[in-house]
Order: sequence, then structure tokens, then C-alpha cells
Amino acid sequence: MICSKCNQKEANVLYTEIINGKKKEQHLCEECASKFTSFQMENPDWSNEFNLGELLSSLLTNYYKEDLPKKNISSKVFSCKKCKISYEEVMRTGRFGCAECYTSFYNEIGRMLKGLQGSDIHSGKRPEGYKSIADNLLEELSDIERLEIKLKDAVQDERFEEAAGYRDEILKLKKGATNNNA
Amino acid sequence: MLKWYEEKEANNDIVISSRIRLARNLDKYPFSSIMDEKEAKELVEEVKPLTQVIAEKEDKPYYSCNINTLSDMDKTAMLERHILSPDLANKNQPAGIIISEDESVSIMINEEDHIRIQSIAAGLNLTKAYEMANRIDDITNEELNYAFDKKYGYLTSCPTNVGTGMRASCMMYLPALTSAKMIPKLIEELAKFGATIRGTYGEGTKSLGTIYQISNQKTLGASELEIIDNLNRLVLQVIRHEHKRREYVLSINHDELEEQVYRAYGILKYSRQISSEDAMTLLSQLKFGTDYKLLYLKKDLNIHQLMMEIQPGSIQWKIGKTVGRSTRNKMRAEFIRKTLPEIK
Repeated sequence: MICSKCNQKEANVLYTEIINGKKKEQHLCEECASKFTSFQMENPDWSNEFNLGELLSSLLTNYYKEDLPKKNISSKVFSCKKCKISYEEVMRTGRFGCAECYTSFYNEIGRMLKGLQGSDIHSGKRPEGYKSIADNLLEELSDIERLEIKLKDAVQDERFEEAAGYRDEILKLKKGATNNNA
Repeated sequence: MLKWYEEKEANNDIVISSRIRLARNLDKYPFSSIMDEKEAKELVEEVKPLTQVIAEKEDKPYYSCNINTLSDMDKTAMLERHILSPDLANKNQPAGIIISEDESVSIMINEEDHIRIQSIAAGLNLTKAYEMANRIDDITNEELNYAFDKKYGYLTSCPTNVGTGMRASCMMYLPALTSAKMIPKLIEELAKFGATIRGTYGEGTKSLGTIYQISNQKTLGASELEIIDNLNRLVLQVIRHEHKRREYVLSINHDELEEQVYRAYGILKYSRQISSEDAMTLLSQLKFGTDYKLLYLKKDLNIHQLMMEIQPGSIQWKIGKTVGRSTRNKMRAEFIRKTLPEIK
């Protein structure tokens, strides 16, 4: 079909205008369409992005499939305790449903993350005031317990002079404790 | 020809900007991918008051708005200036944005993750960009509880972002490596060191005016500063290669390049209609010419800024309405004619 405006070029845009309920159709070429209408041929197509989800899920599914014969996972469906999203859904879309998913699929994702990221342990920033399990354990220890750990380490590394120092400190603390109790 | 010592400060000629993005999620909501309308609305309303807090603590103006109140024209213009991401612009759920007046910091609400803090610094300065983003992150975390795991770090919707949630990137202008067809090789090399190279507008977009983005690929395992340090080193390598290639090209093709630069100037200065792709290519050539003193302009010109201003969305934004391509091409040509200084 030929463009109804310029009557020269091939029409490849069907432009429909509805004004006051009256429908008017025009067959236009690309040039006339961009000249006379707000139709944009060169509109950058932001939505047409490379789909990361697809690539990712293919990567993840490979891990998953590989695991099947080895570990003999039964066909039971895993899903997140909180948001109820299934593991398969996560695989397919490459997106977790909620923070809890990381705990619910704990056994499954460790290896996947290692494959994807080359590591499965975060070593960067933590929210201020955030305490790790190790921090909490350390805080609960008494001074004597802390010194005993240091003593053990020192003995193991054959730092005997240092070890003797810790031993004396522990004795002093223990003595102080018994004196106070007496 | 430019000497090495004259080039000391010339990294800005190659690295246009450095950018940091931090992905964060709040522990009380499901991730954005499965959130319902109501939760999305609550999230936006909960995060938006941050605007005031950040403005006070940073002592500069910040603004916020809901994405659905923006016109398509506004969105395109903001995309072109890298304030919005395509994901956020196309979101059909409540979503929002907080932005500093100078546009150096933006916080996207309900993008792929609940919160994405983005900061940008001119030239090669990832540390400065990180410091900005890190401060905003601390302020945000004082007000809102993040989803954080002792082993996996900051939890994100997509496992490619988990850990630091950080993407560091440099926007680089690489005309010599491009014309030598060395970009595919570069992609291969960078991948070995955990970095990727993408088009001007990020993932899946093509390069305009030989501008590329180089960024870290992995987010888990290394600390933020290690990631930045690593990327910085790679970027310096790329700069060295680009310089070397430019020197080489200039040494064998000086006259041809001079001709190309002057032609580019001529077309830009006198054309009556110009598409954004053509303009980008010519501006890229002109930039090469001014960087390498093949051509002198009477006044300083920020070519990168001009490149952003001539994108379709920004041109329409200037006119104030949506117009067709041919009108845009005319407006673009007029704008460039007015902006380009005379030749010395």
C-alpha cells in the first residue's frame, strides 16, 4: 500500500485517530508518520533488554539437574516458608521471593552462589551495630574464658612465654574471685 | 601531538563518570518481584520520608516523586541522564525516586530491589562516589531495617547482586579502541578479571558515540573497597590501552584524523536536521579532536553534557511536548548549532 499523505512511499504504519467517537484510519509511510503524528519510529526500546533471568535460570537449572542423579533428590516441591515461592519458580525467574528464601533454600543455594559469584561468604559492609554469631559468642564469654582461649592458642603455636603470661593472669583472676567470695 | 606529561590530568577525557549502586531490601516486605500493589504502595510511602532526613543530614536539597506522576517524556529524559533505570521507568506498580538537586545521588524505590542507592562522580573517582552512597546507606539504615544475613550479606532479589549489593562502574569514552575493533577482545579480557563492559545505557544497550560502561560482575566475597580497587586497576589499564592506541593512530593518520574532526565540526555546526545517532558519532569525533588539540574551540565545551542534552527525550523535554522524529531532528540541529562555540 502507498502512503496516503505523500502518495509516494510504501505505507508501513496504520495510524488510527479517534476524535469525538469518529474513527479515522490512515496508512502512512514512516516519514509521514513521524512528521504528522506523535508516532516515533526511533523511540529507543528500553524494554527490549537482554533477559538476565533467562540466562541465570539456565545456569541455575544446570546445577539443579546435575544434582539430581547424584544426590537422588526426591521430586518433592521445595518452597519458601514465608512467601511460599517454590524453588523451581526461583530457578525459572532468577529472582528470590523474599529475604527468608535465602534461609528456606539454604542447602540449595550455597553451591549455586559459589558458581555464580565465586564465593558464598559476604566479607563487606555490615549494617551498623549488626553483630555476627561470633561477636555474640565472644561477648558472652567471661574474662577468664577469653584468656583461656588465648592461652590454648598460644600453647598450640608454641608461644610459651606469652602462654605463661596468660596463665598468670588467669590465676590472678581466679584468686581474686575466691577472695571476693570469702 | 600531546605529550605524556600534558596528559596527566587527561583521565577525565576517557573516564567521563564513576558510578556506585547499592541494592538494599527491607526485611518486612517480600521482594519487589512478588509484591502486591498494596505492599508496594506502603513501601514507597515508608521510604519517601527519608528525603527530608537525608536533606538535613547532607545539608543539600533532595526531592522525591512517585514514578506514575511522571510523563513518558520526563521518564525518557531522566533515563538519558541516568537518573532512572529502564526497570523503574517501566514499572507498573507504585514506585518512587528520591534525588539530590545536583542529580549526583538518586534513590530508586521499588525497582528490582526495594531500594537502590546510586551516586555519581565526575571523572575516575569511584572512591568519592562510594563515600557518597555509603553515607546515604548509613542514613537509610538508621531509619529502616535492611534484610541482612550473616553469611550472605545484603539480601537481594537476584542472586547476582547479593553480598555487598554493589555495582561500581565507570563510563568510558573509547574511540581509538573502538575503531581498532578491539572492544570484543577487551570484553574477553575484562571477563577474566570479573568485570563486564556494556553499552552506554547499561545492560543490553548498544554503545553510542563510543561510550561504554565498565563494571564489576561479582558482588559476594570481596569487600566494597576491594571491588573498587580491582575495578580501578582495570580501568587504569583500559585508559593506558586507549592512550597507546590514540598515539598510534595519530602518528600514522594525523592528517586523516584532522580532516575527520573538522568535517564533524562542519556538519554539527551547519546541519539543519540531525538524528541522535549521527550527532553522537560526530560529537565523539569532535571530542577526540579537542582532546588531542587537532582543533581549538573559542570557548570550553562539555561535550558529554551536550551528548546527554541531544538525546530524543531531552530534546522533547526542552520543547515541552512529544513531537515526531523529523521535528526532533530539526530541534536537535538547531540546539547544536547554537551551543557549539566557534573555532579558534
